[in-house]
Amino acid sequence: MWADLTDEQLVEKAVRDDPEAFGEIVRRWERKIFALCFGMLGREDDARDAAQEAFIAAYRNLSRFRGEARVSSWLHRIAVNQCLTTKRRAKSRAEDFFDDEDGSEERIFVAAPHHSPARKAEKGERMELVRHAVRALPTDLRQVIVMKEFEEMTFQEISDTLEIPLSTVKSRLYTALKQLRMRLERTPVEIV
Amino acid sequence: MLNNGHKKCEFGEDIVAYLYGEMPAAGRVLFEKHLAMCHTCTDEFAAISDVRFSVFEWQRAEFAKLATPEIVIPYPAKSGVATTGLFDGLRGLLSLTTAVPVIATLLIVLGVGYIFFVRQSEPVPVAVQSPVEKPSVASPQPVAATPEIATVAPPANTKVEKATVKRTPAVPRPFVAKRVAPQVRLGNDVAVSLTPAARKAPVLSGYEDEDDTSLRLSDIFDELGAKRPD
Repeated sequence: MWADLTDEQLVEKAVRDDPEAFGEIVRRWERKIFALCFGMLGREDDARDAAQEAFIAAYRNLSRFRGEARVSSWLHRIAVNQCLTTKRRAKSRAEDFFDDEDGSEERIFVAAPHHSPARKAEKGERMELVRHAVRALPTDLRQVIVMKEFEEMTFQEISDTLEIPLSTVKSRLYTALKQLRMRLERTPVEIV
Repeated sequence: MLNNGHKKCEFGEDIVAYLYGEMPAAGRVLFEKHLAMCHTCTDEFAAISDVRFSVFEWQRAEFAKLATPEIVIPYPAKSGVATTGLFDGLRGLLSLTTAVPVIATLLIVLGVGYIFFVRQSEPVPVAVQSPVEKPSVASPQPVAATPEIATVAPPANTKVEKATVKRTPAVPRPFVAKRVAPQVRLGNDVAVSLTPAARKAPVLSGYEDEDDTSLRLSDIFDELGAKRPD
């Protein structure tokens, strides 16, 4: 129904006469916004809550969207602000118990609940794409991805292991993630 | 990366460091402030976060659930005997063959030395002057196994001559085999033997005068008819 409309058209439609058009915005961007929140907060449940809050905030402020930026950027900014608010709240709560000044935040990755068979199928397809994309990486880039994600090594440990500078580790990881993004964007996952 | 087409941001490594939680606290605050203002970095961060989360999900779905394999190292089977080299047995044999003669030699030397020492310390028979015999002393009874002593008794009121004592070499040194109870001469050529039984003191506890059979001085005086000293 709304598949042919752009994000900006969907926002315009939602503001004008059909609030449910925003649902399509949510469906298109919920995963990316969730990933952004996950990247900022490090906890899956916190990220899920922050993404929820971000979309609610976007819906309430739809009339303020002027079209000066892309919808995705607008959503990203709302999500970032929401994550920062979440972090501030968490920090103020944690200060009652311990000092969190060293920035060592607990990053526990908890399994997310699976919602529907369609999402499971989408997830399985995405896993296959990620596997192929990681295998297609050059060896030096794949090395740091595996060390970081699978072996959970720190940048310093990777640097010591591979005998390369710390900045090289970060740049290789950044390059690897960018190449993965390009490979994954080239083969978008069809949502059932 | 370009910020709205005007400013070039160099936050690539910072995005990664922030994403993986390895950015110092001060740098994190600065980066968050920048992220809240910069559209380009926010979009870049969102894209990198998305990819990273995909990799994380793949890792969790396909790798994290796998059971860690049990690694079995095929170590060589341990036997009770320690592994020895080719020449270890020969070396052990040589050490055994050298140790045995040395120990045997030491034993022989010690044995010979002991025999020599015993021979040296054995007393040599010497001529002993017999002392002047004292006539009125009741000496302990000699033991039957005493060595033969040839004693020449000097005549009375004569000069005592040297007495020679001959000992057969085979006979060991004289010794008193039995201790004879000393005798107390009480007079009238009556000797009373003070045997240990006779000297046994009465038991004080449960003392009964009728039960006491020990020798008493009063009994002796009674027996001799002597007057009891008062």
